[in-house]
Amino acid sequence: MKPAEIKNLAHTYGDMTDGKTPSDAGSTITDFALYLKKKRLLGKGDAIIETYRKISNAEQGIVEAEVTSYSPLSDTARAALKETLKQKYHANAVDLIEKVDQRLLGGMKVRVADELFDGSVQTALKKLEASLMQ
Amino acid sequence: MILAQAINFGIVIFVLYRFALKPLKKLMDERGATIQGGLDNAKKQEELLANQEAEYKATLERANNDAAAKMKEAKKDMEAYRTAAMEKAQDEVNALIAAGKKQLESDKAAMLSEVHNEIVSMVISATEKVLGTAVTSAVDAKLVEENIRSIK
Repeated sequence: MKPAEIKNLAHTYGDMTDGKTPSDAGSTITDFALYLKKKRLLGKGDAIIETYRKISNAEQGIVEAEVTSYSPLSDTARAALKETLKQKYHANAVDLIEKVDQRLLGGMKVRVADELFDGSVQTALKKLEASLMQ
Repeated sequence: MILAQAINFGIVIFVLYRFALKPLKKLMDERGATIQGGLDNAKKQEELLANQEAEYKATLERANNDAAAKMKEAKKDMEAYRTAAMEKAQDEVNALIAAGKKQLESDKAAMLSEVHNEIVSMVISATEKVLGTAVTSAVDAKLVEENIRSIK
């Protein structure tokens, strides 16, 4: 299935659920799932919902950022990061997806859409190694 | 009597002349001609022999000269060939030496590069191990703070 078709289905899903109360939306979601089953597209459900979430976030001015850090972010750091991203992308809100990876050795990586801010010690060391090996 | 003797003498002279002196003279003339012919022939043979000898000498001299010229040319060719062969051999030796030097330099550069990379890998690996225990919460918080500032 092409990404454009998933995007179209995500738009359809949005059109079907937007402005509805949670009880009404429940029956609509069931109908949508039955439609996907009928078309043998149930396996693409997660991708469609994920696309819908991105479209919805974009429409509402919400920036989604995936943060991978060496240790869990402190409340202060989290707030500062959200504020920084909000200003940078002129967003109404910032949605952080946080992960912890001790292989980073320190610092963090922040991915927003296709943009990556990599301040991890692991990457710094890799860059140092590459420059020393040239 | 005297007349008769004179006639007899005349007859004898005539007979002698006719049947002895004339054939003898003819024989002597023929003999002389034969001897003269032989002498002439011998002279001709001598001249011919002298000519042939002169021709032989000239031919021999020409052959000697040709042989000497050819020998000289062959020596010259041999010398040129020897010089060319020496130069070619010298060039080949020089090329071999140059290739050997180049290979040696290349091997040396590769070895140095390998050692350098090995040392860098070891330093990075050691640094990673040290940082794994050295990065405290405070240090990490500082790093995160700097990361956030760098995003602006």
